[in-house]
Amino acid sequence: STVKTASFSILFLRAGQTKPGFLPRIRDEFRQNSNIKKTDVMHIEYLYRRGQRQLDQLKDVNTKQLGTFSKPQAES
Amino acid sequence: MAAVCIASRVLTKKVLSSKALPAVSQSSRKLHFSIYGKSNAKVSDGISTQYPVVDHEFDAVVVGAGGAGLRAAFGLSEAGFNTACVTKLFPTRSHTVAAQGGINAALGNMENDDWRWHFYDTVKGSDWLGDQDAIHYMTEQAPHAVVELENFGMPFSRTDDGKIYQRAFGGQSLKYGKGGQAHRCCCVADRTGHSLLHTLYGRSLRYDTSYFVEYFALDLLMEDGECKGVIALCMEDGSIHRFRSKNTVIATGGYGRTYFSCTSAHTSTGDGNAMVTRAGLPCQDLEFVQFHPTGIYGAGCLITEGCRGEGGILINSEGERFMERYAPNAKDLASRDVVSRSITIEIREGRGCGPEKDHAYLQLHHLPPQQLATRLPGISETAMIFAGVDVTKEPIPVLPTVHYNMGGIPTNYKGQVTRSTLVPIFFIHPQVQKGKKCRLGSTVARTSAVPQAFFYCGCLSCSPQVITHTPEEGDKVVPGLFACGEAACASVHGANRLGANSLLDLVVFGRACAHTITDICTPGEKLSPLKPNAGEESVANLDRLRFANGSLRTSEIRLNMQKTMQNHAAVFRTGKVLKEGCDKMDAVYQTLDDIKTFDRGIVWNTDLVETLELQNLMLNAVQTINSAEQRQESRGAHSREDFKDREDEYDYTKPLAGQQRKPIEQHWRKHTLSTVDPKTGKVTLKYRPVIDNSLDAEDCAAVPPAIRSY
Repeated sequence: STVKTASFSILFLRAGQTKPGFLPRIRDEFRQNSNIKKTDVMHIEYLYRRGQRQLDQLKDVNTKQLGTFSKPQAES
Repeated sequence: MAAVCIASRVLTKKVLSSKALPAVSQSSRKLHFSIYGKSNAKVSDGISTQYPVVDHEFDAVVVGAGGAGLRAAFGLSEAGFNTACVTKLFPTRSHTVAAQGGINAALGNMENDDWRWHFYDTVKGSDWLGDQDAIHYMTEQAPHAVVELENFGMPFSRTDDGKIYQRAFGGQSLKYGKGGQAHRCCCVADRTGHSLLHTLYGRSLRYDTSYFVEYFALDLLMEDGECKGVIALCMEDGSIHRFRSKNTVIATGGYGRTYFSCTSAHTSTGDGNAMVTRAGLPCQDLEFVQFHPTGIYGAGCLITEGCRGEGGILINSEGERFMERYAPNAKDLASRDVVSRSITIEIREGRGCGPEKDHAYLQLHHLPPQQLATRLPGISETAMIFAGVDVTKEPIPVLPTVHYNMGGIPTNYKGQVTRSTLVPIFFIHPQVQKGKKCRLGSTVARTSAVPQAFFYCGCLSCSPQVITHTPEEGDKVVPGLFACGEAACASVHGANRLGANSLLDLVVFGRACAHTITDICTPGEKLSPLKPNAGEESVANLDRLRFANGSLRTSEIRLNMQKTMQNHAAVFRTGKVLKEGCDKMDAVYQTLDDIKTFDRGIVWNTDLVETLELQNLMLNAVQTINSAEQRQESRGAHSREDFKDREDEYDYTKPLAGQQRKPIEQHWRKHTLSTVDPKTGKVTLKYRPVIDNSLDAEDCAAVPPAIRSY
């Protein structure tokens, strides 16, 4: 449900406040998955469980930053 | 137009400064690293794939959660280190769980026993290729390790007076080989590995190790010859994780899956060995692959040596107990390589069993059924399921099957990974003269006024380049890197491993790694800086494999490799066949460029993970077969039909008096160190001498080489 997602995202944002790279990534992830239909319960629940695990990991004091390796688009 | 961004990190603030450079490289495989969200504006148009990277910092990282990995991980946590355990399998699914036989320890519950006899047996079993200081350490620690396991709650089988039951096992004797069969293998029926792993897992939950389960370790993060961590792929969500730490322990197990028929799980793919090879470091003694005498014919499942320990016998088609001819004293409980060779010879000479006469029988029905039910319940079930045999009535069809890898990542007895620095020395050592003993106890053959390529005693502690004596005698420790378990080569098993020594090896050296790290580091130490784009090549490789579009599937290439290894590097090896195998393996290695994968996703992409495992297996396979082809002697598990004898520095079949000691280049009692260039698959071999002195010569004298017969 959208309420759950909202409170969930707040937890993530709080966790990521002091660590570089977290906030944009979290925002992107939530935005990316925002277009799932409300009725697609299995998918939502899977993402929620995965999100819980990711949250625990991000909250952990040993996780320091989020970055990305990007591959530039191939020359056409 | 692709823009390449170079990320740099200012020390005080974690701010990214980016410079847009004109696109120069043709290759679109170049990845660049940036901290998420910063300055992506210029690049965001040109990005085709992004791999999110999570950076972690720990005091110690353990790769692998089998017996050795778990022991090291919670040993470190117990000592106060912030530890991460990265594993591609859930801990209780590691291959340790499949071990059946037991753990050797000179507890003396069945008869009078001494760990020095165990030391002797292990040195002899290794065919004098084992490093005696490591063997001394392991056998002396054995009783303590077993008692510690028992205190953790491991449910050992018991004797009637409640002590730990110890059974007979291959290669174990009393009084330095003169007192008959020793009973020193502590066991839990025939499911010791299962019990050990579950005990260790249960114990590890008491400590605060961070487990990263189902994370596939891709590569080591090496900088300036120092190991600074590991980069891994999270299989669940496809994110990349970099674990930075001052201490990395590799406990990833063996690589049985390079062969078509093996007792190993599908996950035994030599990931640790491959990571070390890609880091440019050597692997040691990979040609020594143990063929367990009794794997079920057809299925390849393991029937433990404990069967023979409880009284089982091997028979040929004539119903004869043929081991009496090959090993008159130990008979069926001779060392595994001896038994494997005996079975192979019987089959070759036409006395094999079955319609195709291609296996032997293991007979257990002469034992009381009650004993079979209490001491060997697991194999009774295995034989029924995989061979359709009721062990109380019929014999089990068995065949030698690949089981264990004696070789691996070279370490000293403390668990630190070493790299040998045997380089040409162009000076004369002023202190060491002919006839004098060097620190290793070996006699220097000669010195000369003319600069020469190597010193004949073969060890660098006599080299003028090493001004202070190092315990590593010319082997230099790779800072930050440790290894234990089957992945390591300490080397306690040398050319052949005795049964039940492997589980002992796991717990002893897992603990040793934890102790060594506790000695040299303190928890909470600041980490040295790491390049921001560390691990880029690993991710580039991952990306390349994910979108691979050649013509051969992963399974095809893997089958080619397995069949080549099985046909060309089996129990008995010949020069011509090995050479042919090396060329075929090289051809198979080149086909890796033509690989095709089907799953383009990143979440739970098992096609990708299997392909990464295949890359790792290939690196192990080429080193194994090339080292085997070069080693022109028969020693332990490596037996050559064209070079049937063992080549040592002296001929030990004759009296030593009057013999000239051969220089290290002319004999084969030395460890092989192999490196591979991952791009071409070319293997380079070097050698390093065996450590012949024990840790304390007064407490436990080293065993000089002799003829090995059972």
